[in-house]
Amino acid sequence: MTDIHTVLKTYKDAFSTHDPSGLAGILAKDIVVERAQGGTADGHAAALELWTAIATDTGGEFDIEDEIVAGELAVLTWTFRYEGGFTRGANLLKIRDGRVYHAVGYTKTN
Amino acid sequence: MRSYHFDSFDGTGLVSHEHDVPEPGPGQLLVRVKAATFNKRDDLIARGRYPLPPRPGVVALSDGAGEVAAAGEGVTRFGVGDRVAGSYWNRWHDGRLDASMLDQLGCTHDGMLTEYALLDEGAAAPVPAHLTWAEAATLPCAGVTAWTSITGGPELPAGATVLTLGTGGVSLYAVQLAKALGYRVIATTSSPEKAERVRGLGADAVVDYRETPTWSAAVRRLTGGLGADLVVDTMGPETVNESIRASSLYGQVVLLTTYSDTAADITVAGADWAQTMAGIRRVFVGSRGDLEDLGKVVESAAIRPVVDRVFGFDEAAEAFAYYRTGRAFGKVVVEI
Repeated sequence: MTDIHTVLKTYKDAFSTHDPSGLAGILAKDIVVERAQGGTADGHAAALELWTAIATDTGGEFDIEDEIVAGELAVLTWTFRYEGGFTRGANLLKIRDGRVYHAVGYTKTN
Repeated sequence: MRSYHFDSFDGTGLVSHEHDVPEPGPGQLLVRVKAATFNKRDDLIARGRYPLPPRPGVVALSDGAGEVAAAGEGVTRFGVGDRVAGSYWNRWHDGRLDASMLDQLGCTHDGMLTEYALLDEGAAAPVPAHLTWAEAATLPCAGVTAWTSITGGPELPAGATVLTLGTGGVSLYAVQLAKALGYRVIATTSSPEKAERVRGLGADAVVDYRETPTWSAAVRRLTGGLGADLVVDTMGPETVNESIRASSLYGQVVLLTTYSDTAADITVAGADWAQTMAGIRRVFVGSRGDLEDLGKVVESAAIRPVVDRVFGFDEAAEAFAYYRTGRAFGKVVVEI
Protein backbone atom coordinates (compact mmCIF):
# COMPACT_ATOMS: atom_id res chain seq x y z
CA MET A 1 0.00 0.00 0.00
CA THR A 2 1.18 3.53 -0.74
CA ASP A 3 2.25 5.36 2.44
CA ILE A 4 0.84 8.75 3.36
CA HIS A 5 4.05 10.66 2.64
CA THR A 6 4.20 9.24 -0.90
CA VAL A 7 0.60 10.37 -1.42
CA LEU A 8 1.47 13.83 -0.19
CA LYS A 9 4.50 14.03 -2.48
CA THR A 10 2.33 13.16 -5.49
CA TYR A 11 -0.22 15.76 -4.39
CA LYS A 12 2.37 18.50 -3.90
CA ASP A 13 4.18 17.67 -7.14
CA ALA A 14 0.97 18.00 -9.13
CA PHE A 15 0.42 21.59 -8.02
CA SER A 16 4.05 22.74 -7.86
CA THR A 17 4.98 21.38 -11.31
CA HIS A 18 1.57 21.94 -12.97
CA ASP A 19 1.57 18.24 -13.92
CA PRO A 20 -1.66 16.52 -12.78
CA SER A 21 -0.74 13.09 -14.17
CA GLY A 22 -0.31 11.50 -10.73
CA LEU A 23 -3.54 12.80 -9.22
CA ALA A 24 -5.88 10.06 -10.47
CA GLY A 25 -3.86 7.53 -8.50
CA ILE A 26 -4.28 9.20 -5.11
CA LEU A 27 -8.01 9.99 -5.11
CA ALA A 28 -10.52 7.66 -3.46
CA LYS A 29 -13.58 6.64 -5.44
CA ASP A 30 -15.85 8.40 -2.92
CA ILE A 31 -13.65 11.43 -2.24
CA VAL A 32 -15.32 14.66 -1.12
CA VAL A 33 -13.53 17.94 -1.84
CA GLU A 34 -14.97 21.08 -0.28
CA ARG A 35 -14.88 23.82 -2.91
CA ALA A 36 -13.51 27.24 -2.08
CA GLN A 37 -16.69 28.91 -3.34
CA GLY A 38 -18.98 26.53 -1.43
CA GLY A 39 -20.41 23.13 -2.18
CA THR A 40 -18.43 19.98 -2.78
CA ALA A 41 -16.87 18.01 -5.61
CA ASP A 42 -18.10 14.49 -4.92
CA GLY A 43 -16.40 11.41 -6.29
CA HIS A 44 -13.26 10.61 -8.22
CA ALA A 45 -14.21 12.22 -11.53
CA ALA A 46 -15.45 15.51 -10.07
CA ALA A 47 -12.48 15.87 -7.74
CA LEU A 48 -10.04 14.99 -10.49
CA GLU A 49 -11.56 17.55 -12.83
CA LEU A 50 -11.37 20.25 -10.13
CA TRP A 51 -7.80 19.55 -9.08
CA THR A 52 -6.58 19.08 -12.65
CA ALA A 53 -7.91 22.54 -13.50
CA ILE A 54 -6.14 24.08 -10.48
CA ALA A 55 -2.88 22.21 -11.08
CA THR A 56 -2.67 23.16 -14.74
CA ASP A 57 -3.41 26.84 -14.07
CA THR A 58 -0.06 28.56 -14.53
CA GLY A 59 -1.30 31.90 -13.22
CA GLY A 60 0.47 31.36 -9.89
CA GLU A 61 2.84 29.14 -7.95
CA PHE A 62 2.34 27.12 -4.76
CA ASP A 63 5.17 26.93 -2.23
CA ILE A 64 4.64 24.41 0.55
CA GLU A 65 5.60 25.80 3.95
CA ASP A 66 4.94 22.92 6.29
CA GLU A 67 3.68 19.35 6.28
CA ILE A 68 2.17 17.77 9.38
CA VAL A 69 0.83 14.20 9.53
CA ALA A 70 -1.21 12.70 12.35
CA GLY A 71 -2.75 9.31 11.60
CA GLU A 72 -5.03 9.67 8.57
CA LEU A 73 -4.90 13.49 8.69
CA ALA A 74 -2.35 15.60 6.84
CA VAL A 75 -2.03 19.37 7.03
CA LEU A 76 -0.16 21.30 4.35
CA THR A 77 0.42 25.00 4.82
CA TRP A 78 1.29 26.96 1.70
CA THR A 79 1.87 30.28 0.03
CA PHE A 80 0.31 30.91 -3.37
CA ARG A 81 2.19 33.61 -5.28
CA TYR A 82 0.66 35.35 -8.27
CA GLU A 83 1.43 38.48 -10.22
CA GLY A 84 0.92 41.35 -7.82
CA GLY A 85 0.52 39.44 -4.59
CA PHE A 86 0.29 36.26 -2.57
CA THR A 87 -2.12 34.30 -0.38
CA ARG A 88 -1.29 31.97 2.49
CA GLY A 89 -3.40 29.04 3.49
CA ALA A 90 -3.68 25.44 4.64
CA ASN A 91 -5.14 22.26 3.19
CA LEU A 92 -6.44 19.45 5.38
CA LEU A 93 -6.38 16.05 3.70
CA LYS A 94 -7.72 12.80 5.06
CA ILE A 95 -5.96 9.79 3.57
CA ARG A 96 -6.72 6.09 3.82
CA ASP A 97 -5.34 3.09 1.90
CA GLY A 98 -3.10 5.38 -0.10
CA ARG A 99 -5.94 7.62 -1.28
CA VAL A 100 -7.30 11.02 -0.29
CA TYR A 101 -10.94 10.67 0.76
CA HIS A 102 -11.66 14.19 2.08
CA ALA A 103 -10.05 17.56 1.41
CA VAL A 104 -10.72 21.10 2.49
CA GLY A 105 -8.62 24.28 2.18
CA TYR A 106 -8.56 27.47 4.23
CA THR A 107 -6.95 30.79 3.37
CA LYS A 108 -5.43 33.31 5.82
CA THR A 109 -7.36 36.55 5.92
CA ASN A 110 -4.71 38.90 7.29
CA MET B 1 -22.09 11.12 -47.98
CA ARG B 2 -20.86 7.56 -47.65
CA SER B 3 -21.34 4.99 -44.88
CA TYR B 4 -20.36 1.38 -44.30
CA HIS B 5 -23.13 -0.95 -43.21
CA PHE B 6 -23.74 -4.49 -42.06
CA ASP B 7 -26.50 -5.53 -44.48
CA SER B 8 -26.32 -9.16 -43.38
CA PHE B 9 -24.69 -11.14 -40.61
CA ASP B 10 -23.30 -14.08 -42.52
CA GLY B 11 -19.69 -12.90 -42.65
CA THR B 12 -20.16 -10.67 -45.70
CA GLY B 13 -18.75 -7.76 -43.73
CA LEU B 14 -18.89 -4.08 -44.56
CA VAL B 15 -20.98 -2.79 -47.46
CA SER B 16 -20.64 0.81 -48.69
CA HIS B 17 -23.74 2.95 -49.37
CA GLU B 18 -24.32 6.55 -50.49
CA HIS B 19 -26.84 8.77 -48.67
CA ASP B 20 -27.88 12.37 -48.31
CA VAL B 21 -26.42 14.13 -45.29
CA PRO B 22 -29.16 13.88 -42.64
CA GLU B 23 -30.65 16.79 -40.71
CA PRO B 24 -30.45 16.58 -36.91
CA GLY B 25 -33.84 16.25 -35.25
CA PRO B 26 -34.78 17.59 -31.82
CA GLY B 27 -32.14 16.67 -29.27
CA GLN B 28 -29.78 15.30 -31.91
CA LEU B 29 -26.26 16.15 -33.05
CA LEU B 30 -24.99 15.85 -36.58
CA VAL B 31 -21.39 14.74 -36.16
CA ARG B 32 -18.77 14.97 -38.90
CA VAL B 33 -17.00 11.74 -38.00
CA LYS B 34 -13.22 11.95 -38.18
CA ALA B 35 -12.18 8.44 -37.10
CA ALA B 36 -13.74 5.12 -36.17
CA THR B 37 -12.28 1.92 -34.79
CA PHE B 38 -12.99 -1.81 -34.57
CA ASN B 39 -13.70 -4.00 -31.58
CA LYS B 40 -14.19 -7.72 -31.09
CA ARG B 41 -17.96 -7.16 -31.00
CA ASP B 42 -17.91 -5.87 -34.58
CA ASP B 43 -16.48 -9.17 -35.76
CA LEU B 44 -19.15 -11.03 -33.74
CA ILE B 45 -21.90 -8.85 -35.25
CA ALA B 46 -20.61 -9.41 -38.79
CA ARG B 47 -20.72 -13.18 -38.24
CA GLY B 48 -24.07 -13.33 -36.45
CA ARG B 49 -22.47 -14.31 -33.14
CA TYR B 50 -23.30 -11.26 -31.04
CA PRO B 51 -25.75 -11.71 -28.10
CA LEU B 52 -27.83 -8.63 -29.01
CA PRO B 53 -29.62 -9.18 -32.36
CA PRO B 54 -28.37 -6.48 -34.76
CA ARG B 55 -30.54 -4.55 -37.22
CA PRO B 56 -29.91 -5.41 -40.89
CA GLY B 57 -28.51 -2.39 -42.71
CA VAL B 58 -27.17 -0.73 -39.59
CA VAL B 59 -24.24 1.66 -40.01
CA ALA B 60 -21.28 -0.24 -38.57
CA LEU B 61 -19.08 0.34 -35.52
CA SER B 62 -19.80 1.65 -32.06
CA ASP B 63 -16.56 3.55 -31.74
CA GLY B 64 -15.91 6.86 -33.38
CA ALA B 65 -15.18 10.49 -32.73
CA GLY B 66 -15.76 13.68 -34.62
CA GLU B 67 -16.82 17.28 -34.63
CA VAL B 68 -20.35 18.56 -34.09
CA ALA B 69 -21.46 19.97 -37.47
CA ALA B 70 -25.00 20.93 -36.50
CA ALA B 71 -27.25 20.73 -33.47
CA GLY B 72 -30.97 20.03 -33.48
CA GLU B 73 -33.67 21.92 -31.63
CA GLY B 74 -33.34 21.83 -27.86
CA VAL B 75 -29.73 20.65 -27.74
CA THR B 76 -28.00 22.07 -24.65
CA ARG B 77 -24.97 19.90 -23.95
CA PHE B 78 -22.93 20.62 -27.08
CA GLY B 79 -22.44 23.23 -29.78
CA VAL B 80 -21.11 23.31 -33.32
CA GLY B 81 -17.37 22.58 -33.38
CA ASP B 82 -17.27 20.56 -30.16
CA ARG B 83 -15.20 17.37 -30.24
CA VAL B 84 -17.30 14.37 -29.21
CA ALA B 85 -17.33 10.59 -29.14
CA GLY B 86 -20.44 8.47 -29.32
CA SER B 87 -21.28 6.33 -26.31
CA TYR B 88 -21.48 2.57 -26.88
CA TRP B 89 -25.03 2.36 -25.50
CA ASN B 90 -27.33 4.95 -27.01
CA ARG B 91 -29.70 5.14 -24.02
CA TRP B 92 -27.51 4.13 -21.06
CA HIS B 93 -26.49 7.48 -19.68
CA ASP B 94 -25.65 6.66 -16.06
CA GLY B 95 -26.32 4.27 -13.21
CA ARG B 96 -26.91 0.60 -13.92
CA LEU B 97 -27.80 -0.92 -17.29
CA ASP B 98 -31.35 -2.25 -17.50
CA ALA B 99 -33.45 -3.91 -20.16
CA SER B 100 -34.93 -0.62 -21.37
CA MET B 101 -31.51 0.58 -22.53
CA LEU B 102 -30.48 -2.24 -24.87
CA ASP B 103 -29.71 -0.11 -27.89
CA GLN B 104 -26.13 -0.02 -29.19
CA LEU B 105 -24.36 2.01 -31.83
CA GLY B 106 -23.26 -0.14 -34.73
CA CYS B 107 -25.71 -2.90 -33.76
CA THR B 108 -29.32 -1.79 -33.27
CA HIS B 109 -28.62 1.94 -33.75
CA ASP B 110 -26.64 3.45 -36.61
CA GLY B 111 -22.95 3.64 -35.75
CA MET B 112 -19.83 5.61 -36.57
CA LEU B 113 -18.26 4.22 -39.78
CA THR B 114 -19.76 7.04 -41.76
CA GLU B 115 -18.93 10.55 -42.86
CA TYR B 116 -21.83 12.01 -40.87
CA ALA B 117 -23.51 10.39 -37.86
CA LEU B 118 -26.65 11.42 -36.03
CA LEU B 119 -26.22 11.05 -32.27
CA ASP B 120 -28.71 11.74 -29.52
CA GLU B 121 -26.99 14.42 -27.44
CA GLY B 122 -27.39 12.17 -24.42
CA ALA B 123 -25.25 9.56 -26.15
CA ALA B 124 -22.28 11.83 -26.77
CA ALA B 125 -19.37 12.74 -24.54
CA PRO B 126 -16.57 15.28 -24.92
CA VAL B 127 -13.14 13.94 -25.83
CA PRO B 128 -9.88 15.12 -24.25
CA ALA B 129 -8.20 17.95 -26.12
CA HIS B 130 -4.77 16.27 -26.29
CA LEU B 131 -5.99 13.25 -28.26
CA THR B 132 -5.79 12.88 -32.02
CA TRP B 133 -9.00 11.86 -33.75
CA ALA B 134 -7.66 8.32 -34.13
CA GLU B 135 -6.89 8.13 -30.41
CA ALA B 136 -10.22 9.68 -29.43
CA ALA B 137 -12.10 7.11 -31.48
CA THR B 138 -10.79 4.31 -29.26
CA LEU B 139 -12.44 5.57 -26.07
CA PRO B 140 -16.06 4.30 -26.19
CA CYS B 141 -15.69 0.51 -26.19
CA ALA B 142 -12.12 -0.53 -25.39
CA GLY B 143 -11.40 2.43 -23.13
CA VAL B 144 -14.66 2.31 -21.21
CA THR B 145 -14.50 -1.48 -20.85
CA ALA B 146 -11.05 -1.22 -19.29
CA TRP B 147 -12.26 1.64 -17.10
CA THR B 148 -15.32 -0.16 -15.71
CA SER B 149 -13.34 -3.36 -15.33
CA ILE B 150 -10.91 -1.61 -13.00
CA THR B 151 -13.26 0.81 -11.24
CA GLY B 152 -16.66 -0.93 -11.35
CA GLY B 153 -16.18 -3.12 -8.27
CA PRO B 154 -15.02 -2.57 -4.70
CA GLU B 155 -12.20 -0.03 -4.61
CA LEU B 156 -8.72 -1.45 -4.19
CA PRO B 157 -6.08 0.32 -2.10
CA ALA B 158 -3.36 2.19 -3.95
CA GLY B 159 -0.51 -0.19 -4.73
CA ALA B 160 -2.79 -3.23 -5.19
CA THR B 161 -1.92 -5.52 -8.11
CA VAL B 162 -3.87 -5.54 -11.38
CA LEU B 163 -3.25 -8.33 -13.90
CA THR B 164 -3.95 -7.85 -17.61
CA LEU B 165 -3.95 -10.52 -20.31
CA GLY B 166 -2.47 -10.04 -23.78
CA THR B 167 -2.14 -6.94 -25.90
CA GLY B 168 -5.61 -6.28 -27.28
CA GLY B 169 -7.19 -2.86 -27.08
CA VAL B 170 -8.90 -3.38 -23.71
CA SER B 171 -5.81 -4.90 -22.13
CA LEU B 172 -3.51 -2.08 -23.19
CA TYR B 173 -5.97 0.50 -21.92
CA ALA B 174 -6.18 -1.47 -18.66
CA VAL B 175 -2.40 -1.26 -18.24
CA GLN B 176 -2.42 2.50 -18.76
CA LEU B 177 -5.47 3.18 -16.59
CA ALA B 178 -4.37 0.91 -13.77
CA LYS B 179 -1.04 2.70 -13.59
CA ALA B 180 -2.75 6.09 -13.62
CA LEU B 181 -4.96 4.94 -10.74
CA GLY B 182 -1.98 4.00 -8.62
CA TYR B 183 -1.90 0.24 -9.02
CA ARG B 184 0.95 -2.17 -9.66
CA VAL B 185 0.45 -3.87 -13.03
CA ILE B 186 1.46 -7.34 -14.18
CA ALA B 187 0.73 -8.09 -17.84
CA THR B 188 0.89 -11.33 -19.80
CA THR B 189 1.99 -11.37 -23.41
CA SER B 190 3.49 -13.67 -26.01
CA SER B 191 6.86 -12.28 -27.09
CA PRO B 192 9.83 -10.29 -25.79
CA GLU B 193 9.03 -7.49 -28.26
CA LYS B 194 5.47 -7.11 -27.00
CA ALA B 195 6.71 -7.39 -23.42
CA GLU B 196 8.99 -4.43 -23.98
CA ARG B 197 6.16 -2.36 -25.42
CA VAL B 198 3.83 -3.23 -22.55
CA ARG B 199 6.54 -2.22 -20.08
CA GLY B 200 6.77 1.05 -21.96
CA LEU B 201 3.08 1.65 -21.21
CA GLY B 202 3.77 1.24 -17.50
CA ALA B 203 3.55 -2.49 -16.71
CA ASP B 204 5.73 -3.27 -13.70
CA ALA B 205 6.21 -6.92 -14.67
CA VAL B 206 5.43 -9.04 -17.71
CA VAL B 207 4.90 -12.81 -17.98
CA ASP B 208 5.33 -14.58 -21.33
CA TYR B 209 2.36 -16.93 -21.52
CA ARG B 210 3.93 -18.95 -24.34
CA GLU B 211 7.00 -19.72 -22.26
CA THR B 212 4.92 -20.07 -19.09
CA PRO B 213 1.53 -21.64 -19.94
CA THR B 214 0.62 -21.86 -16.24
CA TRP B 215 1.23 -18.14 -15.83
CA SER B 216 -0.79 -18.00 -12.62
CA ALA B 217 2.22 -19.48 -10.80
CA ALA B 218 4.44 -16.71 -12.16
CA VAL B 219 1.91 -14.09 -11.02
CA ARG B 220 1.90 -15.57 -7.54
CA ARG B 221 5.71 -15.49 -7.47
CA LEU B 222 5.70 -11.85 -8.54
CA THR B 223 3.29 -10.97 -5.73
CA GLY B 224 5.06 -12.76 -2.92
CA GLY B 225 2.54 -15.60 -3.09
CA LEU B 226 -0.49 -13.33 -2.63
CA GLY B 227 -1.83 -13.23 -6.20
CA ALA B 228 -3.39 -10.37 -8.15
CA ASP B 229 -6.10 -8.29 -6.48
CA LEU B 230 -7.91 -7.73 -9.79
CA VAL B 231 -7.64 -9.65 -13.06
CA VAL B 232 -8.97 -8.12 -16.28
CA ASP B 233 -9.73 -11.34 -18.17
CA THR B 234 -10.24 -10.48 -21.83
CA MET B 235 -9.99 -14.06 -23.14
CA GLY B 236 -12.72 -15.92 -21.23
CA PRO B 237 -12.94 -19.66 -21.74
CA GLU B 238 -9.24 -20.04 -22.56
CA THR B 239 -7.97 -18.17 -19.53
CA VAL B 240 -10.57 -18.02 -16.79
CA ASN B 241 -9.15 -20.94 -14.82
CA GLU B 242 -5.66 -19.45 -14.79
CA SER B 243 -7.18 -16.09 -13.85
CA ILE B 244 -8.91 -17.71 -10.86
CA ARG B 245 -5.61 -19.35 -9.88
CA ALA B 246 -3.74 -16.05 -10.25
CA SER B 247 -6.20 -14.18 -8.03
CA SER B 248 -5.54 -13.13 -4.46
CA LEU B 249 -7.80 -14.46 -1.72
CA TYR B 250 -11.22 -12.94 -2.40
CA GLY B 251 -9.74 -11.10 -5.37
CA GLN B 252 -11.77 -9.84 -8.35
CA VAL B 253 -11.75 -11.52 -11.76
CA VAL B 254 -13.50 -9.37 -14.36
CA LEU B 255 -14.71 -11.80 -17.00
CA LEU B 256 -15.33 -9.95 -20.24
CA THR B 257 -16.22 -12.84 -22.52
CA THR B 258 -17.83 -16.20 -21.88
CA TYR B 259 -17.54 -17.98 -25.22
CA SER B 260 -15.26 -18.14 -28.22
CA ASP B 261 -15.12 -19.89 -31.60
CA THR B 262 -13.50 -22.91 -29.96
CA ALA B 263 -15.15 -23.00 -26.54
CA ALA B 264 -18.85 -22.66 -25.75
CA ASP B 265 -18.57 -22.85 -21.97
CA ILE B 266 -16.74 -21.41 -19.02
CA THR B 267 -15.09 -24.09 -16.92
CA VAL B 268 -13.38 -23.50 -13.60
CA ALA B 269 -11.73 -26.25 -11.59
CA GLY B 270 -13.53 -26.40 -8.26
CA ALA B 271 -10.37 -27.10 -6.29
CA ASP B 272 -8.62 -24.07 -7.82
CA TRP B 273 -11.55 -21.81 -7.10
CA ALA B 274 -11.72 -23.07 -3.51
CA GLN B 275 -8.14 -21.90 -3.00
CA THR B 276 -8.69 -18.27 -4.00
CA MET B 277 -12.44 -17.72 -3.48
CA ALA B 278 -12.17 -15.11 -6.24
CA GLY B 279 -15.29 -13.18 -7.16
CA ILE B 280 -16.24 -13.09 -10.85
CA ARG B 281 -17.61 -9.77 -12.04
CA ARG B 282 -19.17 -9.15 -15.47
CA VAL B 283 -18.88 -5.92 -17.40
CA PHE B 284 -20.76 -4.85 -20.55
CA VAL B 285 -18.72 -1.80 -21.56
CA GLY B 286 -20.27 1.10 -19.59
CA SER B 287 -22.52 4.14 -19.58
CA ARG B 288 -22.02 7.59 -21.06
CA GLY B 289 -21.12 8.71 -17.53
CA ASP B 290 -18.34 6.14 -17.52
CA LEU B 291 -17.13 7.49 -20.87
CA GLU B 292 -17.06 10.99 -19.39
CA ASP B 293 -15.19 9.82 -16.28
CA LEU B 294 -12.70 7.96 -18.46
CA GLY B 295 -12.10 11.12 -20.46
CA LYS B 296 -11.25 13.05 -17.30
CA VAL B 297 -8.64 10.51 -16.24
CA VAL B 298 -7.20 10.23 -19.76
CA GLU B 299 -6.88 14.01 -19.85
CA SER B 300 -5.48 14.47 -16.34
CA ALA B 301 -2.99 11.60 -16.65
CA ALA B 302 -2.12 12.54 -20.27
CA ILE B 303 -2.78 8.99 -21.44
CA ARG B 304 -2.21 8.34 -25.16
CA PRO B 305 -4.29 5.35 -26.34
CA VAL B 306 -2.31 2.84 -28.37
CA VAL B 307 -3.10 2.91 -32.09
CA ASP B 308 -1.56 0.11 -34.15
CA ARG B 309 -2.45 1.27 -37.64
CA VAL B 310 -4.58 3.88 -39.37
CA PHE B 311 -6.38 3.17 -42.65
CA GLY B 312 -8.16 5.52 -45.05
CA PHE B 313 -11.96 5.56 -45.42
CA ASP B 314 -11.70 3.80 -48.79
CA GLU B 315 -9.72 1.03 -47.07
CA ALA B 316 -12.34 0.20 -44.42
CA ALA B 317 -12.75 -3.39 -45.62
CA GLU B 318 -8.97 -3.94 -45.58
CA ALA B 319 -8.83 -2.39 -42.12
CA PHE B 320 -11.53 -4.79 -40.87
CA ALA B 321 -9.68 -7.74 -42.40
CA TYR B 322 -6.44 -6.63 -40.76
CA TYR B 323 -8.20 -6.20 -37.41
CA ARG B 324 -9.65 -9.70 -37.69
CA THR B 325 -6.18 -11.26 -38.05
CA GLY B 326 -5.63 -10.44 -34.36
CA ARG B 327 -2.08 -9.27 -35.07
CA ALA B 328 -2.55 -5.65 -34.06
CA PHE B 329 -0.87 -4.22 -30.97
CA GLY B 330 -3.54 -1.73 -29.96
CA LYS B 331 -6.33 -0.31 -32.04
CA VAL B 332 -7.01 -0.44 -35.76
CA VAL B 333 -8.49 2.87 -36.91
CA VAL B 334 -10.21 4.17 -40.02
CA GLU B 335 -9.80 7.90 -40.61
CA ILE B 336 -12.73 9.51 -42.37
